[in-house]
Amino acid sequence: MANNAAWVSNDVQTLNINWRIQITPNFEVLESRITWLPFAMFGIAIAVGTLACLFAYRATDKNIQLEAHSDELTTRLAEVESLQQENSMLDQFAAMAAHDLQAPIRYIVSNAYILIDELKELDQQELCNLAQTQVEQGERMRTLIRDLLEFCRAGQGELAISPVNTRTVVEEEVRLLKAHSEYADTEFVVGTLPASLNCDREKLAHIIRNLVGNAVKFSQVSNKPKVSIGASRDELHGPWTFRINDNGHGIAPEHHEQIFKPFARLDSAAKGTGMGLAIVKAMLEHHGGSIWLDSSEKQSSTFYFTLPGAMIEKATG
Amino acid sequence: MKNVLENPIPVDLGDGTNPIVMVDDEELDFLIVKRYHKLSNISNPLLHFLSGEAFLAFLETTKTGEAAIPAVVLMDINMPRMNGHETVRTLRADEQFRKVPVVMMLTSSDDPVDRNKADQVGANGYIVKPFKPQLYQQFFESLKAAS
Repeated sequence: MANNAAWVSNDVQTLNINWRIQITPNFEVLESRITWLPFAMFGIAIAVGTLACLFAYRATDKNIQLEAHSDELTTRLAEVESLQQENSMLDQFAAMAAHDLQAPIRYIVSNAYILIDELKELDQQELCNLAQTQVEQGERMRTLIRDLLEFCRAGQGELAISPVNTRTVVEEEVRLLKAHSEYADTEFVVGTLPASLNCDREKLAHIIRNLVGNAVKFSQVSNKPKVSIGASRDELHGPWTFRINDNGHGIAPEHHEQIFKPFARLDSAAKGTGMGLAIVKAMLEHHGGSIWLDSSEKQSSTFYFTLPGAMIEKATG
Repeated sequence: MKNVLENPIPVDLGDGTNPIVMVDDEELDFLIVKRYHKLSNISNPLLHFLSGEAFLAFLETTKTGEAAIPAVVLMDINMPRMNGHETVRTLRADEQFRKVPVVMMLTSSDDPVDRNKADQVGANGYIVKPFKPQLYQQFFESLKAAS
């Protein structure tokens, strides 16, 4: 076979012998190798492709995992932030509680020191005044502690949910307020109210008592004190929004948030403990509701609140 | 900022016409201070304002000579609307009242936040509202001694 002819031949003489070296290619072997080459390349390509796919998949998977981690981090951060906020609110609450609780004790103790020190020089009237202050401050302390406990309880515990005729609740609270001689001149207007609302009746009565009580107090600055109570809703089966309106002096917008905080008092002459609206807010939030205010200084105030999740059958009025 | 009972601040009681002013929304705290002011025989009158706003309005009248500039001011911190810190900051913003001695009245001594804030707004010292009211006697005695 011509193909088998020697490609290279060389004569070499060594050790007195003549050697001929012939190099002849074996094409059969070569041919069989060439036939396998495409398959091998194809195989390598598949292997590389698979590896690339695997890497790509892992990268995407990592990305998805990273995104999930980042989502989790965002949630955690929000949780930490909300906890920090809660903590700072608790700190403020503790500081305010300590401040407000300390004042009555200081007056009681101070007056006792004066009594001990100056008993012989004090006249009957002075003695009486000092003791009277001690009694008043002791009572103030008791009210403060009662309100504090009520505030702590307002946001927890089980609610006694049942269908409540809110008109009956409002009318009862209005009747009690009308019984006060100082409110004899006040006009009460009771508008539309849900006849059946699923809520805790006692809590609702407390909320109404507080808000209507405040409204009556605020409206006394007017020549014709007037308090209106009603509720409305946007859709047929939508949630009700209650409103309590007075024609008092109104509340400046910068105080709208502050007044719902515990121990908030805009007026030091006010007799209250500054816990009333904080208790109402906590009760409403416990019901899943909210409270807000629409007012500007020197004009009337309207407090709004919602009690969602309540089923309504029909309205009265 | 230091406790004025331990480190008295310089106060000029003058000829006894400049008032000693107390700004506090609690009437009862004033009644106690009034008692010891009377016992001290200091001739400077003791004035009481129930709010920072009322006190600042009074200060305006000192500009026309209608009233005398306070010899010293006792300032409560926790008051509705405008608190003691804001009141002192407003007072200090006015060139004429930069040197009026101001003593912050703290509810408790262990509140570094209140103390630091008082320092920042320009109060000269502090006093802790005492359970033992005789400490006010000590305060008035220190004013007499410093003057």
